[in-house]
Amino acid sequence: MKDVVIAGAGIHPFGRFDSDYRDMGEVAARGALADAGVGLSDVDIVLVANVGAEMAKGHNVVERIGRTGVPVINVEAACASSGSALFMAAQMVASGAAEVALCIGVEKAPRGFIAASGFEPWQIENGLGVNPLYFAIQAQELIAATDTTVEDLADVSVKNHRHAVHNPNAMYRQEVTREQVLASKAICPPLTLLMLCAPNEGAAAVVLMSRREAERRAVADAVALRGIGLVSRGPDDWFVPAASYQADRTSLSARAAALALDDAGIGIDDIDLVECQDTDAGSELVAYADLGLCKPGDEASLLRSGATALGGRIPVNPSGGLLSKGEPLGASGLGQVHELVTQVRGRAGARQVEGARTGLGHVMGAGHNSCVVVVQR
Amino acid sequence: MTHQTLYDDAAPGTATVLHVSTCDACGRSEFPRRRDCPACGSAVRDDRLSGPGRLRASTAVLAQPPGSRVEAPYLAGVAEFPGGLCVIGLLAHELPVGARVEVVVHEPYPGGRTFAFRETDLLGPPATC
Ligand SMILES: [Zn+2]
Repeated sequence: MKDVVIAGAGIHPFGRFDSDYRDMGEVAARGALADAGVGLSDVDIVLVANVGAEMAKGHNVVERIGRTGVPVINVEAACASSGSALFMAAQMVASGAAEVALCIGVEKAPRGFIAASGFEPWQIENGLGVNPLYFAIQAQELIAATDTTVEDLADVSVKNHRHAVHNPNAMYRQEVTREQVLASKAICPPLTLLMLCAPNEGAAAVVLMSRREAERRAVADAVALRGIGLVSRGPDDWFVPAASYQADRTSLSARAAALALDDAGIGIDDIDLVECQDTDAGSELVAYADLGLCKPGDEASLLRSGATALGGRIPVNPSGGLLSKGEPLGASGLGQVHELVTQVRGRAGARQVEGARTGLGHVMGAGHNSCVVVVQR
Repeated sequence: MTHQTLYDDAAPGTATVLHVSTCDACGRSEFPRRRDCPACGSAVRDDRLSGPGRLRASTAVLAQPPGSRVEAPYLAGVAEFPGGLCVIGLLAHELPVGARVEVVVHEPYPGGRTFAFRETDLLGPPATC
């Protein structure tokens, strides 16, 4: 990605609120604009990621900020919605089609199981249209193929909740113990309630600019958007809602990561911190190998070594991850980017990753899609 | 998509076959059936998957999902068939990972009809994993 920078980032905390999705989107968007030192009148294009709100949701958010006549495009790609919006915004700025792009992710998701994940009617009525069932299958396969244990799954949740204590934007900010995670309500064995993220509400936004525009405006503290990769289903990938898959399956996340790192012109060893799609505890462990943080089979060892905890070699989800923040589907990816930007700017306070300069964000969503983004100070 | 396109219908408890499509160019099978191979684009032929397969994952749904007419708790898992196709389905009874399974017509709720996996002592081709 040539000469595209994140000039500003904003967030509305993730949790449960009385406010409308418009209110949350507005807070995040105004935050990003203020951080970048621009107004809506400076923006050439607005991309809005959301899954479930209503028609013209992005337009309804922008209406709260101003009527500049700017083009507004709504983007939906399940949990990768805001990665997809960011991908489009970045391509537009890189190509010169826009100098300033505002990218907003916002969601007000209902409680409980996520419905309408793309399952066919026969899957739904026969009880197979259940996202956690898929995550449970993935976790069981990981346990069968490696030395990963149920205790390791619990420890992912323990680690991320410990991180979230220091994140004012997270929904759950209390530490949990391995015993509490294991004793929480069983949902789909081996996964318990505290090993699964809760769909919730929130928003995040960034302002992208060409480097030239950022320099012209003397934007302080711009962060380079070094690389981005976006993929959909390949021949042997599997995710929600596919009813079948090949025994030797491949990884969407691995391909998205390879594209993003190649785009950035760096290797995974150059990454200082990762925000990954911990929809469930098993998904974080699977991501370790998919993203190249370890070899397949070494996921649990990497976790047990402490490398992925704050203070470790490659902290994963210093924000607390989706397990602690909750997952407002359309906002989760930009929430990660907000965290990465905060970290590489050295403004993360008690959860600061020391010396953080380069960060990687990873989302993966129903319908088979994954986006990986690399940012650098 | 009606259930007739997924498997041969019969009385609940009867052994059955899954309706899959198989690509002779790349060797992949797909369930449910496809018009052509999503992996390589070649023509496919209708195929019937009888197994036995090997249970690759065994779990359960313990909280009631939206839209499901099956009442939680219930069992579900993944059967891997010779050739490498893995199919997600209900389990007719509790089964450990590694169990040898066949496909059976199943009544998951009163009046409902779908396929499920149950243990078999039939010897089929060796499972691949
Ligand atoms: Zn083929």
